[in-house]
Amino acid sequence: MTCVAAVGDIHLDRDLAGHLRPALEIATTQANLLLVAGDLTRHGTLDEAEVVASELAGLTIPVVVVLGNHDYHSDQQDGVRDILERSGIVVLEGETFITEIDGTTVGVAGAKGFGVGFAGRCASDFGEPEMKAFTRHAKAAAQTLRGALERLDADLRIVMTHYSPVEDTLRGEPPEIWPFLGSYLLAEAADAVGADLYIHGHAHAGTEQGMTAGGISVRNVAQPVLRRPYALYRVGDEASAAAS
Amino acid sequence: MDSGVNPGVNSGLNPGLNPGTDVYLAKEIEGAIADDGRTAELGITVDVRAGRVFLRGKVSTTQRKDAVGDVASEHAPTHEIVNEIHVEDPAASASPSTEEERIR
Repeated sequence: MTCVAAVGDIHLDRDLAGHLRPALEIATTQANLLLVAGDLTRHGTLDEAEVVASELAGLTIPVVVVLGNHDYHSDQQDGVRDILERSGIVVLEGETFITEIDGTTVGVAGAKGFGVGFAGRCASDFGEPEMKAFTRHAKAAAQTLRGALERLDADLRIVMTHYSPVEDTLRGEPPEIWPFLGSYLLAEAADAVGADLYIHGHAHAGTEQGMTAGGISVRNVAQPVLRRPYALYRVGDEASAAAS
Repeated sequence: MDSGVNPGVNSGLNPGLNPGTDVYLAKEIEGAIADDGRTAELGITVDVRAGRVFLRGKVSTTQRKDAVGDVASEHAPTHEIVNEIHVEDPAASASPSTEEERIR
């Protein structure tokens, strides 16, 4: 069995210390892996990162995270990452993580990602330097993700970003801000290489379920969307066989 | 999901019927709620109507709700603040997930 617990946008600060931990202790009895899809903090301070580390560290299952835009807000993302990693939390930004579950290798390719919008309604690499910088960062973010996926050698492959790869899971958010919530380039990267599940957060008013053009299941696990501490997803052939 | 957009208009508007400028004040307050270190909330909707500022959305704690009200009040000191924000903490208020979804 491969069961993944996933949540994003937990936005921890001192005032929420200890809130999530009891639920996560239960998650360790239900899932083989905990994924957290960015926005771990409110402002990306080191103090908040210490709260996150206390909440997520020391669980009996691997904890794999990506950072979100909030975790970059104080320009201390390297320090945030360092605090989390020193607590045993796996932080992915273009890297991969692989674990073995009942003889099956389960891999995660992760990165923050970025916005730019969706095909036909997105920013373009044209005009002012600021617009070109925005678009080029989106392209680089997608390339970072694709590189990680191409290196991911596992039986089951999970992609995780903070930003959304598809419009499906943004429904509920005002369409005018979708270019700041996700990028079709992320979906294109995932579809080019292939994956079994795509996890993201960021869109608090969005929708949990979606799919890429290439048929990869996408789940928006932002905690305000889930309205529960985390979601549980069973992935792999066993899941398909059981459902058929 | 912070667009980084802050209209930055005058916050000393007289309360009353100012439909032409109320929308700018609302956006200024929304931007402040996103940018202010006490709040950093990006999902709060602000409407200004007839001299009153309506705050709607969800936050995790009562303290965060009150902080949003404080920031709004600072940016619209002559307006009544109607804080209709709902406090909802999914991590604490909901029971842990027991249902798995099978991904095909």
